[in-house]
Amino acid sequence: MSLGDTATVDLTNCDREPIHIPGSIQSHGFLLGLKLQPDGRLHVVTASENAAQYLSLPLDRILDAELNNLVEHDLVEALHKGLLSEGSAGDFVRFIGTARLPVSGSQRHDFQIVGHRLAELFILEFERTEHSVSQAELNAVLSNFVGSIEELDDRTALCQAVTSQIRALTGFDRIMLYQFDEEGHGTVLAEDRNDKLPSYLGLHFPATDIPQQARALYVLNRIRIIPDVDYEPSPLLSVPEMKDAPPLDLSLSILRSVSPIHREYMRNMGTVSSMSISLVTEGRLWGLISGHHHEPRTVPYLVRSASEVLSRITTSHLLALHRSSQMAHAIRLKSVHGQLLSFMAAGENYIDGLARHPVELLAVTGAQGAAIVVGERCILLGKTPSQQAVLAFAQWFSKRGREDVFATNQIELECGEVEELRTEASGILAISLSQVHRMQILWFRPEILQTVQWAGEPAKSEEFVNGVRQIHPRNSFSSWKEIVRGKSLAWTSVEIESAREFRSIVLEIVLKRAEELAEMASELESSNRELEAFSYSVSHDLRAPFRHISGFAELLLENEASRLSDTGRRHLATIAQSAQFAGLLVDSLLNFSRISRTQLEIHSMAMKPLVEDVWRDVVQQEIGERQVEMVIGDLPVVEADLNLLRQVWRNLISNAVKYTRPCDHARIEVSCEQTPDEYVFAVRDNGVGFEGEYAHKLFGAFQRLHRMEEFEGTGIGLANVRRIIARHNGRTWATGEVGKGAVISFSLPAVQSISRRGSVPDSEGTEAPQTPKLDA
Amino acid sequence: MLKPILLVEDNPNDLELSLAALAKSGLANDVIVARDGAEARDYLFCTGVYAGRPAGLPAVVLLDLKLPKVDGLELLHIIRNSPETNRLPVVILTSSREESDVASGYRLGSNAYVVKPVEFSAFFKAIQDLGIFWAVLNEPPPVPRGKPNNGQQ
Repeated sequence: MSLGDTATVDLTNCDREPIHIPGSIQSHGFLLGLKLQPDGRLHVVTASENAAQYLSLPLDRILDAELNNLVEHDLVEALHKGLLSEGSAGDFVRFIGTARLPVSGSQRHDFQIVGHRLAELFILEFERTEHSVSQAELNAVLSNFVGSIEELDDRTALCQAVTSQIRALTGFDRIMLYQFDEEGHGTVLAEDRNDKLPSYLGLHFPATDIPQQARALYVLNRIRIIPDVDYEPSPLLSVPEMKDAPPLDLSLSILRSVSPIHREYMRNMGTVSSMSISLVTEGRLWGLISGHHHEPRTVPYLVRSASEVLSRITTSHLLALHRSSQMAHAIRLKSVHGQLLSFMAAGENYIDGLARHPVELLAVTGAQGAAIVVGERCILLGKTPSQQAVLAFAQWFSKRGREDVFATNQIELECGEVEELRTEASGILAISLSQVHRMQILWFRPEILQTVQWAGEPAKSEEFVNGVRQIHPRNSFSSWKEIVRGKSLAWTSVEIESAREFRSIVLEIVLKRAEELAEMASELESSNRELEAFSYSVSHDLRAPFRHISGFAELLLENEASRLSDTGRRHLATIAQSAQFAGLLVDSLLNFSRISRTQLEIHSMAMKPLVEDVWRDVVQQEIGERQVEMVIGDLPVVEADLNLLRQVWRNLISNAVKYTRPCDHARIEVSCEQTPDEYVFAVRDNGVGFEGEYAHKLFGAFQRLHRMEEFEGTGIGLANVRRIIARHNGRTWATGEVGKGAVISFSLPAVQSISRRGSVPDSEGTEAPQTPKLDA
Repeated sequence: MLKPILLVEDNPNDLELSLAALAKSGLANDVIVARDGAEARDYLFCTGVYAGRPAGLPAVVLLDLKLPKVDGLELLHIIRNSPETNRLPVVILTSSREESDVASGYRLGSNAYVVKPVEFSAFFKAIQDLGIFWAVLNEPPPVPRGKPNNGQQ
């Protein structure tokens, strides 16, 4: 194969060589292309040039000749039977028979003849045989072999058995069997040889050794032989009317001339003759059995056929072994899944269940390391990159957000920005448990640091012949070591499937947990509601007796005052006041419970007019003679329940008024600041303040930080404020210092997520159940 | 002659306090007491123990909500659905501030709704104001003629 000067030479050039139409055949036999004439006779329309020597006839007497005139009648009969009869259509090769043909005058030679159909042509190939074998002998070999491998349940032993058997049958110096991996690289699994040729056992062949189209051809034509690499190719010639026909497709030909690159490859290997048999499973080229000999060697067609049968038996056995081992692996994985499921279900937290059983978790995918990532937290198990690198990957993976399961054996091609991963976790298999929250389980495999022996240098050398750039395979064939950089062992489909299945198992657990949580929350909610109803009815029923105590004490005071002593009157007055205060407490409690029970009426409302309105009420009802300066800043329009917000402002402003009572110059300031997410409102006063360490108590129901005699009140105002703001999804807090005033703040979300129509009353104190939002 | 006030109250303490309050108000109206909803109904419709009493409706009904036999809201429903009484002023007087009670009370057509204050003076004042407003100040609805008027202020 030669290419123009300007053509770029790379490894893929071989892939473009049209090896199925070489236009010539090897010289250990000859080829005739026949066409059936309307009168039923077969005419030669194509012949290899060397047919002239084999048939001792000039080529022009062969081309266009009738087959009857070239070979014996028996053969033509056999041909009719084998190729022309009904139902024998189809492109497979048939053994037609043997013939003794005169070669070079008086000498006669045995030929084995095979034929196949090629569209409207019949291709007959005559292969010279040096020696013959008996069919009975071959049958014995085959049945012995089948018997001997029945007991084998190990792939290597099986490969070894077929390799030795084929060598015994064919007599090659060396037979080796190699398997191709997913990327097409070959590994020699078994070998049988004498000391004429070196050992290649355990070596790796780069995928580029066998170009793509050759692999396709090998699936079609399962056995090829080159008896002598130094053969003189014999060109194919045709009758004049075939001149414009496309070149003859020799895919199924046994004599097909091979690529000059391949012949050079053989010479470099030190082999003169070779044979190769395809190992095909499920339509895919699984591997090759190849034989080599240091000198020319022919193998009779029947022996080759027997070898091919042996190979087919072997592949079907290999497939069965593979399937049963896959099945065993799958069963093993199932049991690992089951174990992990029980670990997850047993613990309080399913993540702990996983983290405590790293061996099983790693077994899910056959990884060396794993990580469980939840948000910004990650748990590392086994051999993993640093936490930082793991989190960087996790971030990349969730940003990618496309698939639930991700697998690579060369991470730098996918996520190159994390340098550490390149070698520490070249292989990553990741599952994402949620699109919303970052919840991932990752498995790692390190770079294959062990050296790999290649049977050749992957970079093909270039050479110039007559000024033309020539491409040819490695001249140097000594083992060459290369570190496979940045690559881990690939994740198999079983392992990826296992990860996917494991993902569903975890999701099931998570969902189950979420359901339990929701159930608990709803139980809590209902018991909370019962409690609310109970406290409501208690408070409600308390109201009447308090009213009666207060009422009759007053009546007594009014009607019978003259008959009582001063002390008696004072006691009665205290009874009346206490009953009134108890009534006030009950009313506050009822109002407090009503805040959580009523539906919110969310509307757009301007805060400033509301605060001004509340201030007017406070001035009218509470301020009296005092002078209080009020500053109301710019306040936004918010989405809220007007009545409840009025209570909030009333409470806050009344408080500010109350606690500034001792001040000479009382000043209250209402302001608002906006952040991207929320509005923060504040009521600031210069009153008595409070001790900062008790700030958290300020918002509790009936919590007071001052003595009753100092400041009146039930102590429920700020509890109401907190409840109302919480129902609006906001927060409440306070800062203060004794004698330096207080700032009571609350926030409201910038965008109110409660529907405008209002929401179902929720119970304060229990947070809404944290159901993980899953995208399962 | 002044129309009486019908006070429907089952709790003896509340009854006594209410009567004391009404007595202090200086109203000249008689106060008829019914201790449950059924008795009040008998009075209004001149049935049962009130069969044969002189005809005439009270100036106002002060109606507690929680009552034995026939409760306050039921009685209100009966009053509003009877042609003889459907314009009678009714003031609901109760401990409950529950919105549902308020809502049902107004839906059934009560003329006012007063939560009994705990504080005695406030309670007194409320009872007195109610009595004076409904028994003295409020013009009784005219005899039905043409446009109906439910007496609502």
